[in-house]
Amino acid sequence: MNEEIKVELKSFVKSILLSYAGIFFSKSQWFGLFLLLVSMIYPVAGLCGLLCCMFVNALAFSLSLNREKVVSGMYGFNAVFTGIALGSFFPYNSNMIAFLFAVSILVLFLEVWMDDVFERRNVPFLAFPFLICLWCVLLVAQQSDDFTGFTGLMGGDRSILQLGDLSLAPLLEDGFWSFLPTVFVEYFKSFSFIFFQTNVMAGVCIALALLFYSRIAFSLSLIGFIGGYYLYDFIGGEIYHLPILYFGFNFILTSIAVGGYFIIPSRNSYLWTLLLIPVQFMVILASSRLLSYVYLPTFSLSFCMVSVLFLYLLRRRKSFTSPVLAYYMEDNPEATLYYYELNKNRMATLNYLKIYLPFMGVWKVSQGHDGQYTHKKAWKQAWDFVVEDSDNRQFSGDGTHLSDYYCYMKPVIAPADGTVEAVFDGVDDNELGAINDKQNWGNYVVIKHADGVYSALCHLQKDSFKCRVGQKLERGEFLALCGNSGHSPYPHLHFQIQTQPEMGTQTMDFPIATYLAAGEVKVGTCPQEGESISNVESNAQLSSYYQFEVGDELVVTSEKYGEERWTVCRDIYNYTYIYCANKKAYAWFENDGSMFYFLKYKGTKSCNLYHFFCSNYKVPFVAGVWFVKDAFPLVHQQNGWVKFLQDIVAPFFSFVKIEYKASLEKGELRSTYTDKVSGRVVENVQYETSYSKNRLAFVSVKTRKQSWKILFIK
Amino acid sequence: MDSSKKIRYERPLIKPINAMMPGKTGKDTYLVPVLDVDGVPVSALVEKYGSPLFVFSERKQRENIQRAKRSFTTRYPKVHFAWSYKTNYLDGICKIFHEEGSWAEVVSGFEYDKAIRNGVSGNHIIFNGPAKTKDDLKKAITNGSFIHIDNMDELYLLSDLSDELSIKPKVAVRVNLDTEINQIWDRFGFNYENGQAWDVLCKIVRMDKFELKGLHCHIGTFILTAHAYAVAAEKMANLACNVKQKLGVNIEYLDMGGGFASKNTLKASYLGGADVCPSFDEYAEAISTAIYKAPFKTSDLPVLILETGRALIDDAACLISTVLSNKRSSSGRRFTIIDAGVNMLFTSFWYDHKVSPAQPFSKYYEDVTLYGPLCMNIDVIREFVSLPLLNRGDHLVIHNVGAYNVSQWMQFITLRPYVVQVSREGKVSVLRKRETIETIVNQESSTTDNL
Ligand SMILES: Cc1ncc(COP(=O)(O)O)c(C=O)c1O
Repeated sequence: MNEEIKVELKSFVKSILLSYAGIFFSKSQWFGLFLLLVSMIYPVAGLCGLLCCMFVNALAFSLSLNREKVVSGMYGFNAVFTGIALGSFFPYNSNMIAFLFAVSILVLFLEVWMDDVFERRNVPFLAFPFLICLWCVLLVAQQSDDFTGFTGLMGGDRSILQLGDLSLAPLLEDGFWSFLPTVFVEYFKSFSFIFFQTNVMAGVCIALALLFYSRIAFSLSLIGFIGGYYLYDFIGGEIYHLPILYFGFNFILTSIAVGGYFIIPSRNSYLWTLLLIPVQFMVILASSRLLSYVYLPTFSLSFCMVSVLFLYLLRRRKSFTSPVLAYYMEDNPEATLYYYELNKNRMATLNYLKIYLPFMGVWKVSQGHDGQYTHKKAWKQAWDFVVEDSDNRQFSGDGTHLSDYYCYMKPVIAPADGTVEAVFDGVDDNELGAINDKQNWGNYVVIKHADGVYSALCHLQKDSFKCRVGQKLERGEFLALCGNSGHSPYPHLHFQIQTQPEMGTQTMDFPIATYLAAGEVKVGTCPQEGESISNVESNAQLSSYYQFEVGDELVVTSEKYGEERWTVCRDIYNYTYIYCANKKAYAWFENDGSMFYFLKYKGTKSCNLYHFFCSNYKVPFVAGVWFVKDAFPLVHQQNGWVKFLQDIVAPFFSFVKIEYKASLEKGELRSTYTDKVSGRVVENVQYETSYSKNRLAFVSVKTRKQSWKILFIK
Repeated sequence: MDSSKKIRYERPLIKPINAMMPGKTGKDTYLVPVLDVDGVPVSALVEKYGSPLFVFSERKQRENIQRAKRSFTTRYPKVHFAWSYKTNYLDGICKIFHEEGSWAEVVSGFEYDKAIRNGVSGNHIIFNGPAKTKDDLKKAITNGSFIHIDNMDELYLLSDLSDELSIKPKVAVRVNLDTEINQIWDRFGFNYENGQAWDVLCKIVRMDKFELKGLHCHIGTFILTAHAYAVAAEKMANLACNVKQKLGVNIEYLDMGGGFASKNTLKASYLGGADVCPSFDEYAEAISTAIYKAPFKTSDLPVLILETGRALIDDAACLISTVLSNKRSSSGRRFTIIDAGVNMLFTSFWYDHKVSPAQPFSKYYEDVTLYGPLCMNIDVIREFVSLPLLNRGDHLVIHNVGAYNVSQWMQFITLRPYVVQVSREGKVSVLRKRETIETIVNQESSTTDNL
């Protein structure tokens, strides 16, 4: 019972802290706590914010709203704003407290409703509920005698200063900061204005915390604000009688939202951040004029409107080009970027249907995507394959007969499970050097693998078909023989993935699930022209070592980190992970039957689990001798300064690479973790994973300075 | 004319003109002098290593295994070659095949140890043969090698060892079968047609002491018709399907043994070897088509293992030899005696090896009998071969000697010569040193043992 209350309490505290962190789209409880403290510089307003947030979250919990959402601070952060606004405009008395509760309930109503409405369109509701509540509060306040008025905010008499004689006091005097250029003073003030404060010191604190949380978010806030500031200057903003302080934070929040949080940070996202500044101005000036009739401020309207509209537009695009929307937000924008960059390639096998090569043995790509001969326009994403010997000849003897060609009459097989959609037979093979323009594709077969995913195999030999239309196929089943029919001067196999069942429709850029190229296991990539490639043979033995089932318990020990207990678990997104209770570390992994690989690691690096993650980052279950390469997300960069610099430039380029390479030799997995900073190796760890009968035996670790062994003692 | 240069004397020869139509075999093979092996002059080789001399070509070996692999792997999804050690177990040779991805196929404890020495991992060794000792088997079981059971006594011995070591040995059953050709090698393994093979498979499954992994056959050697393999593969595949259906065990591999013919000409063969021996493509087509006929699910197709020996190495070596003398028989036939005999060229018992002179020659040919240096009547290299006239000291190159010679040769009367290899870059390395008298006498001893 006690335990249960503890857990509940923990989630409640978390929901509060994340409500604060959510103001800057962060998921860090520390950041949240920090913002909470900063909001207390004006204690009455700060307490009102906290009270409102606590009340809304408690209400949301007790009304059984989606728990995940409540804990994530989604419902709390509008409450924080609303509470602070209330505390800023009214004197602290029982009336106000009663009013606070009423407004809190309204906030929650609006949030739940907007969440539903906006979620359907796949856009966030941002601070809209707060905005509406703020206006309500102000409209009510206008009738009250106690009301200090919006401009009354500037008085700044309610600061913590009055509570005691703090040595920090001078810092809180705005005069202290006069050595800074005005643009920066305004920048910091704008930060503090988010909490209805006008205190430079508070702004500096928030800005520093933001920098600590995310270099990208910080640089975006700076770019957005400075852009806005100078535009204001340029158009002579004063004539509108609207000090920049009242709306400057809109630029900060919009740039963080659009430039790095909802969109993967990139050159384009930064560009859009700048492009949206004039748009925001329009909205700010127009809305403040309109709202002035009812004596209301526009406040964060432009941030909410412009961000939501822009995101909505991006969601409505027909193809997902840059800027790319982030589907899964990591801890901060740079992490989102690093994982996105990495997983674009890494997760290809997860997101795509698994299509393999349509032949047996080693064939060479004689023409790849965008090939110089015929792979152009709508048909550019296609491959031509031939067989070559070690002297790069495609035929034996003098190559004067079709049958001299190695690939001629070799079986063509189904690249994946599917149904035969079309078979075209009856075209004779061309003589060597001749082409048949009339029946361009020659004899062909089209297979349907899924809706919108068809594979086509062309130039096959007449009368060699072993499949009929409508037949269900298993991957690897015999289709026909490679021939020389159609647009084919010499025997080869043409292979393409297309969106429609008709032969010759638009091709797609589709990765091949797994194949072997010169000893390297390639996963989810597109074979390149000139590569000699083959399907892989699966390795049941290797696969048997990696059969982790949810609920499995592993006991692992090493001299360096001691004994650890690992549990295999599954999260609500259906991802599996290994959890090390001793060190509170998580390692998400995936085993798709053909490969074991880690997706992500979270927790301390002084942990056996971390080294297991690094050493077995990607293990394809492939027989024979092979190696595989991959890269770790740059969040693993250990050197703080390097990481700081890399984070700042990350949207534009990267000079850090953390590489993984593994090979299977004599039944052992040898892998390396190499950290390269602008090409120079700064860290190199070598691992050797050994197996005993049907399970992992140990991983030996060798860094530059020391080496040790991690034993698996089930 | 430069009178200081002596013109070589050439003995007059009267030969009946025999201007008939060319036969089915075409005209006499046109001989060209073979002056080098992969670019290394024969004269330089002889000067350095003496005569006789075995010369292997790395290039040719790799070409052969790559061609064989290409033929099979483009037709069948899972193929492994296992290098047949008995064919040629010199380390330098085996290593090339292992580098090209071949496993090892061995038939004795000695060959087994050699494979291990060459760095082959235990689970890539196939242990064949009718004469595995208890110790050999123990080693193979603990290393996880595939043991191919030849007879019932071996089965029982393995069963005892399984208990003793508490490891389930990985086994396959050697099957012999009728492949519609003359060779029936029914002395090895269990017969397919009379049900022996099925009985032993049932027994193995029931005993539950083994991991039954595969089925093995080796239908003979120098099989000149691919059809025999089609028959064998079909029977093996059906047997495997039956085991799966009726005994519930998944047969992971079918080992079709060796036996592909090389380019040599068998004695009494009417046509030249190079013209009649099927290509790897033909063998591959026959075997893969036959397996596809069986009711396997595509994803459950067994691995195909091939233990090809001679077809991969025969044409990758030649034996350089030197003329010792010429004489005439009582009937007037020309005899040429060379320094390489059947003691080192064992295969001349069943092949008519192609022989080429290693220096330019005149246009006059004569039918000769090539004798080796041994004082034994059986020491004949070629009974009947048309060669230009050769003098003492001239060199000959005997072709296609890569398989079985440097493993089946014997030290008899003379010592065994150097075996060298020309690398792909044209560098020569010694694979095996020439034997010296010490090699022999060091093994001799005169100590008495008290028994
Ligand atoms: C069991 C077995 N496998 C393979 C071979 C090699 O055969 P070949 O050299 O004819 O390919 C032999 C030779 O006799 C054999 O007995």
